[in-house]
Amino acid sequence: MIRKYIIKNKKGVFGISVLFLFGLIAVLAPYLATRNPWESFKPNLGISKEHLLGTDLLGRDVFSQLIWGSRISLLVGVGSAAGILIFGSLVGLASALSSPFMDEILMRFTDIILYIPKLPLLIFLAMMLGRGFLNVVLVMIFTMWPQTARIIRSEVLSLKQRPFVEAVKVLGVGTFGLVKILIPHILPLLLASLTNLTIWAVVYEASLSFLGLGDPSVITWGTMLYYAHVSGVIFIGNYIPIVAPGLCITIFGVGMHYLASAIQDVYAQRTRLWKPF
Amino acid sequence: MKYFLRRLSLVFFAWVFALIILFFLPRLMPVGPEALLADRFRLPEEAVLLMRKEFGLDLPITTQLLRFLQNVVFKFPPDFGYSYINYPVRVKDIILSHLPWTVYLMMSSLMVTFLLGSVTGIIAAWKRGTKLEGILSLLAIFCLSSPVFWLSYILIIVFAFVFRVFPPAGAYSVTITSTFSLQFIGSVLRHSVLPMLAIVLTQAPSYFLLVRDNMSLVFKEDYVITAMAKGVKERTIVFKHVARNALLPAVSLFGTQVGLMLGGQIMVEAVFSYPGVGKLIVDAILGLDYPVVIGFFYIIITLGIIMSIVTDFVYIIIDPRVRYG
Amino acid sequence: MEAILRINDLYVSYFTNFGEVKAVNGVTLNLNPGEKLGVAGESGSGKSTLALAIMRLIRPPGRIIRGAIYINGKDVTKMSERELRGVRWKQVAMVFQGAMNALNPTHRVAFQIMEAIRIHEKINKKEAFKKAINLLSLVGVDPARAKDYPFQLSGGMKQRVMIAMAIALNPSVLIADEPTTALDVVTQRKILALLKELHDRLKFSLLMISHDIDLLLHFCDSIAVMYAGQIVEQSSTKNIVQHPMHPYTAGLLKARFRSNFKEFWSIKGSPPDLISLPPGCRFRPRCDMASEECARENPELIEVKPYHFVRCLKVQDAAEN
Repeated sequence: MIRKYIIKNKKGVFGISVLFLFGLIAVLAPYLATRNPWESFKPNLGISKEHLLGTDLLGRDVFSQLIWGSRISLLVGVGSAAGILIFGSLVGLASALSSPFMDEILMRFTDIILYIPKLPLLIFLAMMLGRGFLNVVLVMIFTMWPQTARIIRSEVLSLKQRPFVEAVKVLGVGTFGLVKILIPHILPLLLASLTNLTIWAVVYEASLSFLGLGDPSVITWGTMLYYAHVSGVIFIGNYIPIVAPGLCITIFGVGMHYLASAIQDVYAQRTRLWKPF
Repeated sequence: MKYFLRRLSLVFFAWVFALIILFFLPRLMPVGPEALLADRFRLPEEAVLLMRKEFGLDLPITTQLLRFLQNVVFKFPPDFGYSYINYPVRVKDIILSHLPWTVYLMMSSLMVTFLLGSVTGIIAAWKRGTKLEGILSLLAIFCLSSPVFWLSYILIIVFAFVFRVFPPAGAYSVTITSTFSLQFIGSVLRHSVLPMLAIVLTQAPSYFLLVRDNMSLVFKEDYVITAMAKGVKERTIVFKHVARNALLPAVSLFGTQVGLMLGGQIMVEAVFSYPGVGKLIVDAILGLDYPVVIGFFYIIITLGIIMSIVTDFVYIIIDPRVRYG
Repeated sequence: MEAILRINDLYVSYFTNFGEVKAVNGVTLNLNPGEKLGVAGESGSGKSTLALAIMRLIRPPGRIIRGAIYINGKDVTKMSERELRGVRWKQVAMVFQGAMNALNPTHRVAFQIMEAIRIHEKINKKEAFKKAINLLSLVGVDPARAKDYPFQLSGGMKQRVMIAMAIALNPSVLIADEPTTALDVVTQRKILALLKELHDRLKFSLLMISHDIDLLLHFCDSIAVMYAGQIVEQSSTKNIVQHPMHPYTAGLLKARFRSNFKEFWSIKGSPPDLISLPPGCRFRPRCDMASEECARENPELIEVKPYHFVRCLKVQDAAEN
């Protein structure tokens, strides 16, 4: 019965298919791209059979760039999200389960980072570390882990109050055993965070690349936007190099959002058929 | 009260500590201020020595630190010295000249975002399950997932190039010379439409989703059935009974929104070449203009600390337990 | 004498993701003018759904599937929103469960009463306020509390406010859905006394719903016992107490506290799943008297004695012979 419910959930289906589709594209990139994305053809061609989405100012095939770009964009997105989640939840978990003193210290530390607005911090750190997409991943992990840590920590703290935790403690399972028991309870939160962080990471990778802080030797949706911006291709009337990569990022975000919503629905067992009047 | 004073002194020392870290930050960068002056500007030796003197880099580090603290902590507005890029303009002047534009854009966007997001959220919750709500929700999620700089470009393409309704860049038309004339104000307004739209479209969905979800929860409350039983009209129930209870989280989001909006603000200013603080900071960071960067982060840190003190203060007033406890 | 409230073979279901929840399955019930009828049943028997259905307050995914509800002779199930506005609160009003959340926390108490009045009568705010104050005194609430918010009042006071709101337009029918649940015993007595006093004075017909059968036995003139969305027994209180016929009724009566507090007894089993109801008599799994015949068909509600209706094959067979 539950499975039928999941399949019925249109949003979830959409989300998973988007994810699946983009993942497939990323993996099969070498077979799907029609041209070498680095090769220059005639610039500013429109949509045609040879160049499905035309070419940009330097004559590079937009469609192939898009296909190849999905690889790094998704890799950075999912990789950063995973890194943030792992590091953030470890700290959050540790903070919630340790002594109040330790908790206070850790939280003060996270607060300091949380105070600073994310984009300026990202830009600043990116400048410090220099270009390169590994640096981008590191910078994003450093900027976002406090937020995740806080979320996980507050959830674990509220779970700690529940009677079953008291009961389990009395049985003497130790900290590690407690963590094992708590994991199924924080799982929905972890999944939701993972999807949200992935959206965030993909968008911010694009933002950093757009500002010129990404890795120009790599093609991602973000660097495509950077070239489109810097080359001024839209002033000539060729809008595709800007519209296409941004659209991909947006659709990816929408899909992930629906996926997160669907996961929430399944866990909350919400009746979608409810109406107010 | 004692608690409050203790907190204030603690906060003050934390603030000074943060400023000291801020001072050392440029010297930790791969290209420090010294190297910057020598290499970047490619000046001859004598000029470099002169510049070093101007920026106070020839003094021992402790003196520099003391002078920095003196200028920053005890003066208002604080003096960060000269901007590297815009020498001989002082940092505080350049920031102050850019600030009004950002404040204007941010404040107006905040208002519109809150109103648009909340009202559409209320309507979406009311008409939950209908096509209208489906379209609204889809639009909201689409805008929410779009990178704000991309959406800005789309707006520029549609409204500035294809339809030529609004200007694509700048804060005002450069052909108008006199400030405070009606023409000027009109130009400012025209130039702010697209940037504001970009910010609003990416920020309003947060309010929309929050209000819509919360309204849906409140609709299930018993007092809504009571109102229906009494014969209250649908529209009245939605706005007077439900919305009143459901808007609270939106209002608290409003209070914290400023920090969240800064990122979007920066990107929008970058795309539209809007002469605000956002564009300034991006140029400063990319151009390694350390004094400006320090000035900017000073503002952020100080504002943040003030906000936290204010919230603490408000809590003390509201919650008698904290006052006596 | 025409019954002031007539429910005819009413079916109400909720269409959820897990299936159709058949909350009310063919309920036929009459409330006579001035009568105090109690509806007794466990949680999940469909009593609250029944109450909401009478006022057409069932919301999606719920729906009235079949049946008619006659209030003062007119069928409510066929009315438009405009017509319903003439019925709701004017002819039939409801005192809701618990009054914990039935009052809007952001509106002052007097305002909520005034709202009820001003929707149906064209009077200005001053007049309405005066009326509200009068109603508050009538139910025993100090008029000085009129401008308070619900959270400032105790449970008993909130329930009184709820009652004041309900009688504001002098309805012919008053439905009280668990009016004393969530109140302490002393306050319960006071609220019941208030309801009795108002009933004697204003002469409305009262439909009282509760899972506390003791309460109903002491308060009401007649009792209808509900199980799995159906009425299984209905008669005067005297008959129910002295000659309960349906095994469920008998069980409910037996399960009350014994006067010497020595024994706890409960009906075995638990209420059925309203999505997948067993065939035949709904009570069969928990019944000691059940036979094969009971598993085949769900019995009808039949008047086996003057004004004594029972839905049980065994009882009906015995009555025939």
